[in-house]
Amino acid sequence: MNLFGYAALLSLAGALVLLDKWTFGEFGISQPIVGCPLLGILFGDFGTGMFLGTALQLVWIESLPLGGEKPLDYQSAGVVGITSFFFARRLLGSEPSLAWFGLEHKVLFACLILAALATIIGQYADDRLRRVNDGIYTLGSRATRASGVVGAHLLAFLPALLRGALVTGLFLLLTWLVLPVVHRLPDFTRDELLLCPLAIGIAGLVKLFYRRERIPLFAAGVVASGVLWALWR
Amino acid sequence: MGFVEIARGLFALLFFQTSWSFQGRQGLGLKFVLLVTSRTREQRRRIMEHARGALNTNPFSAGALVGAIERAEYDVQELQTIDRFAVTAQRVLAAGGDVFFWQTLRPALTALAVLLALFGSPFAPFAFLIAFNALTLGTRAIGLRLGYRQGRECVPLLQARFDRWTRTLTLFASVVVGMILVPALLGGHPLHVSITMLAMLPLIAVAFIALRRNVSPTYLLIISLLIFAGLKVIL
Repeated sequence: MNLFGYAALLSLAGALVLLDKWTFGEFGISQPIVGCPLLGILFGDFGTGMFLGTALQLVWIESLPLGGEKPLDYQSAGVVGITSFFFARRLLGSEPSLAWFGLEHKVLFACLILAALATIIGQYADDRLRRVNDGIYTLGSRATRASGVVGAHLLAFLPALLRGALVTGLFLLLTWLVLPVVHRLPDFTRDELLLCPLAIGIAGLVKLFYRRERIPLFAAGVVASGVLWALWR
Repeated sequence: MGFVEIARGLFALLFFQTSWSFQGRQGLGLKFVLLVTSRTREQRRRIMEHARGALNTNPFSAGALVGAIERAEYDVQELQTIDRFAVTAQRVLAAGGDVFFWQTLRPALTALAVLLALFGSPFAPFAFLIAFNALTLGTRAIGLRLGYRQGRECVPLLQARFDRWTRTLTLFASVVVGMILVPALLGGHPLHVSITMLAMLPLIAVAFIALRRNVSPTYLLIISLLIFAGLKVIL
């Protein structure tokens, strides 16, 4: 498959995962901790999918859609993070002068930054999509037959799919643009790359669940995990 | 309401938010679900004639709303009565559902999945998927059945369940948050805490203060990664 075909395939896969955000089902597939490993399985690197999924899920763990409020589009961050990684691997793999293994963690760093930017672009695209759906709502409201209502409602699948594909595709283009400068980044290990997302994630969880009266439960968790960690190691 | 009706309702509810818009919110989605689950031609005629306005509720607790409206339509209740019920019920179900599903269940289960991932388990995403869908699909199905059987009484019943589940799950989530700290701080070195991992505690403190001050996690990630890369270059 040529590069353009590969990018189209990644965009389509990303768009399908993003349908789960609110267009169809809401099964949780679009959560980065699920979406990234699933795309990882599809494109041949489950381990990196797990890594990016864990990191990106943690960062926006306390972003909540409460009371109709729209949180940051971290679902797009997950999709963009992993698809950018696969696209970069494909781009670098096709150039014999660049050794992939030396650049893997630098590319992961770039993918984390691109994923963060995707939350902003994704939210903007979400707003535009809902405006398009205003027209579909009007169409459905004017329908005089049941089939008209059903048709108008299901028509909303098309712009949602297009939105996902455009967001993913745009960031594949950005990956192609930033890749030539990635080798200038310092060397990282995966543990180091996880440091910032992990700290933000734990801070978010503490913000969500911490109450003075629950301190014994936190402590119990720490002890239980410590024992498990010692046994597991 | 038999198995086939519940299965049909459950399937239709998967499309509940497909056409979510600023103007009608889930209004068209509700009409779609009611049309798919309606049993008689008369019921469909009433649904089509009834111009519903905007509606917004939690997608997972929408089953109860659909079940109760369907029951009211089946009983040929006055359209104004059904409307009044829908307006009140959507708010109550949204409040309870949002607190349980968005504020408690999803962060708790994602935290559990992250914990499993940090322990190196490849089953983390699947554990999340199974647990999350058991509860969300289960609530949709229970809501449909409860709504159809109890009518408007289903709302306080479901609300009471949400309150109970939220309390229990919050306790569970508190333990999970405590559990995440150990693999996060120790990393790959169970007994020899590395310098990098020692940076974690002040980082958590800074991130906590920033989040409390409503700094976006997006900017927090970008800034912290850039500072980290800068420090790597300098050191």
